[in-house]
Amino acid sequence: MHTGAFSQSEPSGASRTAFREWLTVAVLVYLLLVAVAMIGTGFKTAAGANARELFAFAGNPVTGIVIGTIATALIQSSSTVTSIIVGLVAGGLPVGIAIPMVMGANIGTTITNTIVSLGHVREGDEFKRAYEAATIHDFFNLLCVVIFLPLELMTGMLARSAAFFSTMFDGGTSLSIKQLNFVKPIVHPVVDVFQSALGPLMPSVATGLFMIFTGVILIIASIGFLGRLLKQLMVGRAKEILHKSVGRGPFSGLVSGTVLTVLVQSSSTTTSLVVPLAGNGVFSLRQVYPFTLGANIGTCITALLAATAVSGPNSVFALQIALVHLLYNILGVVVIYGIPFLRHIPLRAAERLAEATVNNKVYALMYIVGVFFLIPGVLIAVSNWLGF
Amino acid sequence: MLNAIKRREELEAKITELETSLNILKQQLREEVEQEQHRDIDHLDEYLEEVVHRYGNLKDFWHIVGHELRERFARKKAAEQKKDTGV
Repeated sequence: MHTGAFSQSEPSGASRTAFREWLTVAVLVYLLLVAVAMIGTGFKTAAGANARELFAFAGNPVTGIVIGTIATALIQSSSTVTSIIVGLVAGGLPVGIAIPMVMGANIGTTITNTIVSLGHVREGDEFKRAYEAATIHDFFNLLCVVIFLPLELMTGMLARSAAFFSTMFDGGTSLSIKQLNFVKPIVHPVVDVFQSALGPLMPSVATGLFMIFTGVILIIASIGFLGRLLKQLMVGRAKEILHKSVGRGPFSGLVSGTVLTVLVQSSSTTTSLVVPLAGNGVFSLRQVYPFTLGANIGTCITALLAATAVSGPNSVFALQIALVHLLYNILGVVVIYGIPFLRHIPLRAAERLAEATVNNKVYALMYIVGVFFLIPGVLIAVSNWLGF
Repeated sequence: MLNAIKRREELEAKITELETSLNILKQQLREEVEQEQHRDIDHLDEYLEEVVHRYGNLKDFWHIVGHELRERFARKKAAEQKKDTGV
């Protein structure tokens, strides 16, 4: 009888823990939304109508890409950087300047799984496979920028398509789903209280800057904790998804990579998981390739979520930049993975780099410093010199 | 003529037999690989830990890169010394 009572209390204890954890997830998501709204309001307060001039230095698209790349490589979370970008757009940063930054965030995020692959450095063939699986994502994202940045600069196709959808979702028409957005009413009172509490204490520029700083810290902390918590909570579900995708071809890999990233809210986690799976030799490079690409699509959910927290006339632009991120990643997969010639470029590049690095590990160091820090710096200097 | 037809039929039968065996082997291989993949997926928790401790993993890497760089400079220095003494 006593044992029975004990066994009854155990599931209730577990469910209480699960409830607490999910409640924490909800609080962290709420903090993320508050943080995005805070950055938007802070930027508006600090810059007023001068937001465009403040970011004039990033008008050069190469600079924008480099800012996105380096910021993401340092923070190691593209979701964090894109959420900050959404907040800045909400505060007046022009979408045209933000687009290269979002593209750069895609490149910067690839550093995490490359670092994870370096953990296999003593294992010879295992290291080669792990390193290939990590750098295929890098080469895919670099190729994406090489193809889509010039196209975007020439045609504005991403900005235009995203503007079409964002107006549809966030515009002032009767068909708008704006009225269904319950996020703004629960987020903005907190931001308003924060702003009005700081208002009498300091000048408006300082208030704005303080709000931006607090917002950035809150985003980094909330996404960081969210990622860690979701990893624990979702590991069982992740296993289920992966088990289901085994032996089902590239499309299933792509979908499971997307779903897994949505669940853990981190593309770095998804792409880093692939590294040991490929390193063991159980999954081939061609099998993990589409799974990695799914992470690019799944990670867009965070910026979309962030955009729901933005109110005011710039909310449509905040949604636009989040949609640019999504369209860019979907188009990248469709075009590069869809065309066999292009599909093989990241594969071959990753294989060759891994072959060279196995024989000489210094290449790995040169590659990371070069791709993520040195080449971006040189590109900025050259593009400024050419007067872009 | 009859012999040629019979020979051809025999070859066709052998090819069919080989193709069937090949398909069975391919199927067996696919099943074994998939089983291995399922087993590996069951270790996902451990791989997640590896992601968390990524900076710890870099210790070995720095050690190896340092060693390779020292070796490289030593080789270069030795080659220069050899060249100097040769002159």
